[in-house]
Amino acid sequence: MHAFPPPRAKLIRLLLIASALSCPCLAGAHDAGQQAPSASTQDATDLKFRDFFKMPVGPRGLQPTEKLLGLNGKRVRILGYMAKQEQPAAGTLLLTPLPLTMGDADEGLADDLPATAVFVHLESGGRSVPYVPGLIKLSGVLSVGGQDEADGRVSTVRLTMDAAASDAFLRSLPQRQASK
Amino acid sequence: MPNRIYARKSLTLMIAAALGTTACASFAAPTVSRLTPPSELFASGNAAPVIARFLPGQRFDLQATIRPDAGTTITGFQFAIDGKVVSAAPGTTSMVATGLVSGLPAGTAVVSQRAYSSKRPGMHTLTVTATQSDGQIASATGNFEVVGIAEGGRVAKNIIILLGDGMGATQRTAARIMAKGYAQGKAKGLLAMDTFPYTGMVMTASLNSIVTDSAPGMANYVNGNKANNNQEGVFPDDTADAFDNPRVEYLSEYLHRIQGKSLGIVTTADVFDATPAANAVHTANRGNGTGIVDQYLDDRGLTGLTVLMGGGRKWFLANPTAVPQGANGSARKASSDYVLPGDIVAAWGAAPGAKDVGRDVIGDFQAAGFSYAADKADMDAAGVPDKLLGLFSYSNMNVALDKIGKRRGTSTVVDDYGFPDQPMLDEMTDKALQVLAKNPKGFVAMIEGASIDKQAHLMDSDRWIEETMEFDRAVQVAKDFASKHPDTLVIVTADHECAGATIIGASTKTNADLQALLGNGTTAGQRDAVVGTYDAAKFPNYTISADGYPVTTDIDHKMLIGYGANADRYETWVANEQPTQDTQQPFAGTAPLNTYPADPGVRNSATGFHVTGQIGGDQAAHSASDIPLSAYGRGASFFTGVMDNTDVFFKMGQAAIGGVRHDSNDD
Repeated sequence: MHAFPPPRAKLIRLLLIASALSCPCLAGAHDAGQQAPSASTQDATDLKFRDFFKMPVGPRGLQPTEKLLGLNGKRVRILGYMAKQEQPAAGTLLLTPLPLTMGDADEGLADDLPATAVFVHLESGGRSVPYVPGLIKLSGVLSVGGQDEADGRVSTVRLTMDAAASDAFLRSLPQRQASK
Repeated sequence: MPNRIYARKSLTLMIAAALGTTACASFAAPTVSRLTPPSELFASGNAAPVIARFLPGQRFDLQATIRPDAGTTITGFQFAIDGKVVSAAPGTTSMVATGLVSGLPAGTAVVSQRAYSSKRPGMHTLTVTATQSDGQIASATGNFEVVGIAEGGRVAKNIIILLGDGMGATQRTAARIMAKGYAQGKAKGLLAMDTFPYTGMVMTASLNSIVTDSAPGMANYVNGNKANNNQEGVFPDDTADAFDNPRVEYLSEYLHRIQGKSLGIVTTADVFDATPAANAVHTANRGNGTGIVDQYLDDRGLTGLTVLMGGGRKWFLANPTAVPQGANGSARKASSDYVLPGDIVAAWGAAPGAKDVGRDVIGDFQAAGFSYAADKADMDAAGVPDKLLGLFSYSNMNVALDKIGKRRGTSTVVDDYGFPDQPMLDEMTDKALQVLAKNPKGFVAMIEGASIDKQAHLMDSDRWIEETMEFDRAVQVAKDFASKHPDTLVIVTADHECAGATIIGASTKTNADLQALLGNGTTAGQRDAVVGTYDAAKFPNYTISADGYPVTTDIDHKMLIGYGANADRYETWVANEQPTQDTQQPFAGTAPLNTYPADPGVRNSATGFHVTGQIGGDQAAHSASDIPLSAYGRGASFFTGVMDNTDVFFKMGQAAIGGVRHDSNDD
């Protein structure tokens, strides 16, 4: 096995933090310094990976659904896994429907990343986002269309998290071990 | 008398010093900092070992980097082989002083003469002479060898190279234990690759390291020359562009040119990946996906490309610049595309290329006469076309465990990826060989089991063992083909070993015990009480389903794998299951992570005992170990002993051009 599992207590803390992003009734229940999520979080639409494109993928490229295109530029909430990367680009994480680990060193873009992977852009002060296993739920503004990313990929679906949401999410994560 | 001579000599020296034109080391002169093809003669002055070798008539580029003195430029150059200046057809040479890598002195020039070849077997000297604008000369000498071919034997019309990426001796042994089982010390069956009559050991170092990667790992086999890590079909140079490097002609190109053979490439990886690409594409950057897939098509006239199958559809989709139309998943970018300089185009007859992210590459393949298969159903329905393109997934194809899980109805991973109908490698191989066999001149085929390596990097033992089993099923298909077509050479090999994997023993615990131990997290509980070494390992016994794969890899007393080139990880010994239900349920407040059966949130988090890695980072790395190579069919007897991976190229060349004599295993 190859993941870095947090102990059970940390998993529960993650659940609480993640739920706090979507449920104001639990805001501050664990982290006294955390702000209540802004009201705009409540306007976010739940969006599922299976609703992005016509599935299964046809013989050519991806075909975005009307739902995906209709939510372009709007606030959405997506539940997924953070892909584990060796060399994540600063301020970016990849949100995927299944847990996966990317073999950056030898694979590069010959990867196991599904076409539905969401490139999540956070305000992280130029630092990379520490990896956390397990389900996470992120809210932000959806963006659809081809865009060059810092890792050399071209993203199709992006989520941009505002400063408050980025800050709350990053402060909830365990730090990567310095020895790496 | 002696005094006057002495005085005259002193005066000469003083005048020469004043003019700065002596050959003394403390005075300036232009220098040659690189001579290509590389040689120890140039690098260190030793004639051995010979680095660059070529078959008679195999094409390669001559190149040198010339550093001038400050304030001067390089004004001319010539190459000489064995002391004779090499003539060049118009447009096949170049002198480039811009677009070079950083850190070189002003005025540095990269001088090239493209697509040279020699038919004369033996050692040859290569000399470059360059002129500086003040008249000074820079000169350097290297060497290379042309390896002769013994004529008069029975040739191998077809060559099938099966490459298990990262597949060392452990990977083969583990697949045999899982697939066939042992009884009282005897294997109850053999892998297809075990039945090949000739075995050798391959040294895998690259041009710049004892530890290679998949780019030189493949290229060394199929062009007879070492390459730097990350580079395929080229020698290193001092220009920034990745596609203009000095080329070495591939086996596919050589045999297509002189014998009219076809090329087939089949992989479970994204087809732009290094192993498939290093059979047909010339680039110093294995990551240049856009240019790589374009060059597959554009230079099919050089390589004879007839079959290309695998994953990586994302490179073949037009990427229009307007949003939101560009939401088709295209990965095409101008920065990874190619445009060739004129001298390569003129000398090699290569397509010039273009920065064309809006290109519909699938459409262009179809226009070039390729049938297109988007899934297994398409591949099966295609019959036996003249040419075949198969793109079965967006990036890498899913692993065997997940493809088989879909067919069994026990997994939805391939559905979550959006590609539910992906063929197995043996099915792809069968179709590819049928298409390639239509060419009466024969073919070169490369079949890759790509995710043996990818899963070994992740130290996911159960997955890479099943990948090796899938690969061996493709080996069986190739063996069956060669049995029916005796003028076929089949070799099974690897580019390198991955992860330093080794079979340490077997679990003394049942699967139920191991599942109950999840979350224990201690070496006492999950290692010392579990790992059975020596005679405690006994014979792990896997039940194989009718589809040829294990019913489960989580058996009682399962085989255990350790890793020598490992990174830090947590080990539970149980298979890393993917969720059996997709993540589409709305997240409900503080509900525990029980949206899947049997707490897979914990299972996926791998709460095992901590294993400290030998290397940093999160992934295991390649190792430098020698690789077993197995050979079958015409010319198989060449492949014994310890050989360099570049030697394999010359053995294949001998088999295809000069043939085999007195081969007792031949028909």
